[in-house]
Amino acid sequence: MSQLRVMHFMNQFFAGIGGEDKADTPAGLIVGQVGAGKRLQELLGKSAEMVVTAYCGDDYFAAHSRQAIDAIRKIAQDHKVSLVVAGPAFSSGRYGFSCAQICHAMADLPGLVCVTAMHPENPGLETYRQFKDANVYAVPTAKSAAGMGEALAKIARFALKIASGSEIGPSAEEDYIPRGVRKDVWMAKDGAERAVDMLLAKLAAKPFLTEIPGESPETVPIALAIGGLAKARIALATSSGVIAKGNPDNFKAHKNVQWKKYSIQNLDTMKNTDWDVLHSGYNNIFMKDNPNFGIPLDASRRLESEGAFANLYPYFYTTSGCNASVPVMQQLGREMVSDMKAEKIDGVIMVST
Amino acid sequence: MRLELATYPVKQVQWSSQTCYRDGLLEIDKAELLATVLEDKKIIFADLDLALPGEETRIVNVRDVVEARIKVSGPGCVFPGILGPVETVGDGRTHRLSGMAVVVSATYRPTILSGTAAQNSSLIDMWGPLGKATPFGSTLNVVLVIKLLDGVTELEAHAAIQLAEFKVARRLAETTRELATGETEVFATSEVDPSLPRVVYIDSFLTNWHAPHSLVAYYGLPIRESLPTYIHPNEYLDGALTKDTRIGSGEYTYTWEWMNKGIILRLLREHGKRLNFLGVILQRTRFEAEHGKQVTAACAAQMAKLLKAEGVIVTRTVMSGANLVDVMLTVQACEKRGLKTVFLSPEWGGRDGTEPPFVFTVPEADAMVSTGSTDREYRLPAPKKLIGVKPGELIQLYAGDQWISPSDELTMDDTCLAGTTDWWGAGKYTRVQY
Amino acid sequence: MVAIQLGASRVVTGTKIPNPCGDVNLPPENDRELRREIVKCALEALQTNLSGARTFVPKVSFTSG
Repeated sequence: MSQLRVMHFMNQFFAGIGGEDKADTPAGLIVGQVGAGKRLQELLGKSAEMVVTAYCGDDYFAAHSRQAIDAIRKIAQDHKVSLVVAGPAFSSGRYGFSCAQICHAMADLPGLVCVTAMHPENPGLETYRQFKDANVYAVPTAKSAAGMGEALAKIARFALKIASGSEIGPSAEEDYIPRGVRKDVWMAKDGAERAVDMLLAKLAAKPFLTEIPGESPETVPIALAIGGLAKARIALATSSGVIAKGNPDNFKAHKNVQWKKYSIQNLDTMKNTDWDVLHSGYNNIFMKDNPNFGIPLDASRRLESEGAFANLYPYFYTTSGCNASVPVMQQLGREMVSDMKAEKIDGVIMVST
Repeated sequence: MRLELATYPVKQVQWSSQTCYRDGLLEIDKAELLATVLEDKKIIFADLDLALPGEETRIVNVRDVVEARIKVSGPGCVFPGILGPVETVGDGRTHRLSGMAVVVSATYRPTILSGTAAQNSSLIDMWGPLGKATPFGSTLNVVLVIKLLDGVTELEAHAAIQLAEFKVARRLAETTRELATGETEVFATSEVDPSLPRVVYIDSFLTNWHAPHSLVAYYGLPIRESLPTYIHPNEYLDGALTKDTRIGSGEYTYTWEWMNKGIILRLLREHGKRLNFLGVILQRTRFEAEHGKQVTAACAAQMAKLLKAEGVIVTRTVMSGANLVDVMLTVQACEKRGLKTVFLSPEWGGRDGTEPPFVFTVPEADAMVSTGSTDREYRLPAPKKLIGVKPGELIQLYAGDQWISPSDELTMDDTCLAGTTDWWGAGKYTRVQY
Repeated sequence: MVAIQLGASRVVTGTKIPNPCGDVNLPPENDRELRREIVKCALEALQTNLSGARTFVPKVSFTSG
């Protein structure tokens, strides 16, 4: 076992600096171990040396994340650590947040692994789950510091496994909080047999573990309504794959990574003008014959001339959304919105198939 | 219904002056087979080649893979409604050649150029990362390469390609007709111990009702916008379910897979042991408006209840977000009617597993079995031998996509490769949280 | 249904997947009227403040399910 050099991060309270009154303490370091860190060093024995303890006040971190992260990252690098332990933060939201942010900020350092610890309902885990860093692990703890002993034991077990060079397995097996990264694994039984096993367990009211978790949907903040629509600029957008004739921009039938906007200036219908449709997820024949089904231009022009809104943006935004990667489409959405804001568009009608 | 399925393993395939099978050696008279294929005047070129496991061979323009089976006794024939009259199958005795498959590689000039009704194709590598990941990398493949006459309609293209490959498969299986020594498995769903849990399988699959062939056919009849239908599992074994053979992309299905359906075989083998397999409900998706989705879900659940089922296993094809809604609503409807439900399916998840597994779920879908991701990426090395294309010729997997050189090293995902997507649980992949 | 699950807050019901804004089963004039109603409904949705996601249904009858 190579000896692991470890940095321990704690907040102002656990680092022994003070309570709530010291929550605005800037980031700093103490050589060696402090407080709970001493017990952790005992548990780690000879296979790891906790060379430095970094600390930061909970409020200071919240208000000056960038400076705090930079300072703590420098401490880790200066001390040539290959393992960072952050926490345990238990249920403390601010502390949990700093731990997760620090771990994420160091996830790109080569050879570094981060282990943090907090209660499974700590809001700091949102950061952890958002970034899904492959080398950051959060171990579950009790709600309060009454669970310190057990938390340290779990951290130590994890650290020792990392020190020994073993691969960390799935979250259910190794008892850490899943990042939500899913990997293919080859099983002893085929899917059909596992399905029958699971059904029989469910029928017998015996416990079973689902292999696919139901995802909780991402909350997207609801945009405010447009007051005064009569003065608004409206744009049309679509994911149905209506594109310029001849596909000059090389859209793919599925898994696209780009969006474009095409001119509809002086056009009052999509029919009888030359457009192509490329989307392998639905029958394109109707859309090709009448692209108004995907870009309702004729109807929009009528409403524009009736004064329902001030003007229709002279381009429509498009991509083909078949079988697309969710993060790619989220990125395209952000780019489109950026463009729309620059073009002073107030509202968008997005048609999807 | 009682079917004896006798297996004749093929260990070696050889071109010869006769077509016969003995002790694991399958001899094939190429000229005889090609003459049969060329009887169809829509086929202007035909050739046969062999692709063996371990060879650095790549087969392109793959449209379908089929297992050679022949009915030796009982009503009907294998591929009823296509190779013979419509007669309910799944009874009697059927012979199969195992360890080998017939692959059809076909090209023609398409008339539908985009959308779900457009043709597509895939690749099979007999070695390397793909060779391991597809069942067709381990079968001795007799590859039929054909080219169709310009001017065929899409439906004519499907029919020509399918008939050609089925004729070859039938002729090869025919070599075992007189044999009685094959290892035989009996599939029957006779009366069993009434205390065994009663299980129904809902086979949910996407059909394009408006396409020339809707993607899935029952006794040769494309299933379009129908409501759930109750059938016997043995029917699959005699080829009652077939597909649109113009559609060869890896995210769709192959006739071979319909005949060797993991979940069907598993449920048949467990019948009388751990469960009482009541049968199969075919459910086509996807209805294109919410109303239709809700009706098919309620209807499938009702059918299962009327069959007095207690538990349900649901699978689905293909990787459509919209069809997932029909299927999840079906899971929900079943659970609400008191049926314990398990959903078996591959998941998305992206290359690095950080994307959501499904774009739509219902709270009742609390028991799911994963067959792995459909976004697995493969780096395929350059092949030494290419089947299905002339040297220097390019291939296009999806209508409208770029043309690529199949003799190169390629990076692709499951959707482009035949047999890598596990719809029905025959494989051992799963996905696990890290 | 997928749209709401993925976080969209203002969703307008369209006709069918291959032709969300219109209906191929209607004569051209009626199809255009239907499209106008759908877009009008979308514009109303843009003017409606919400506390949660909502599906807006245009005041039309769709010919097919």
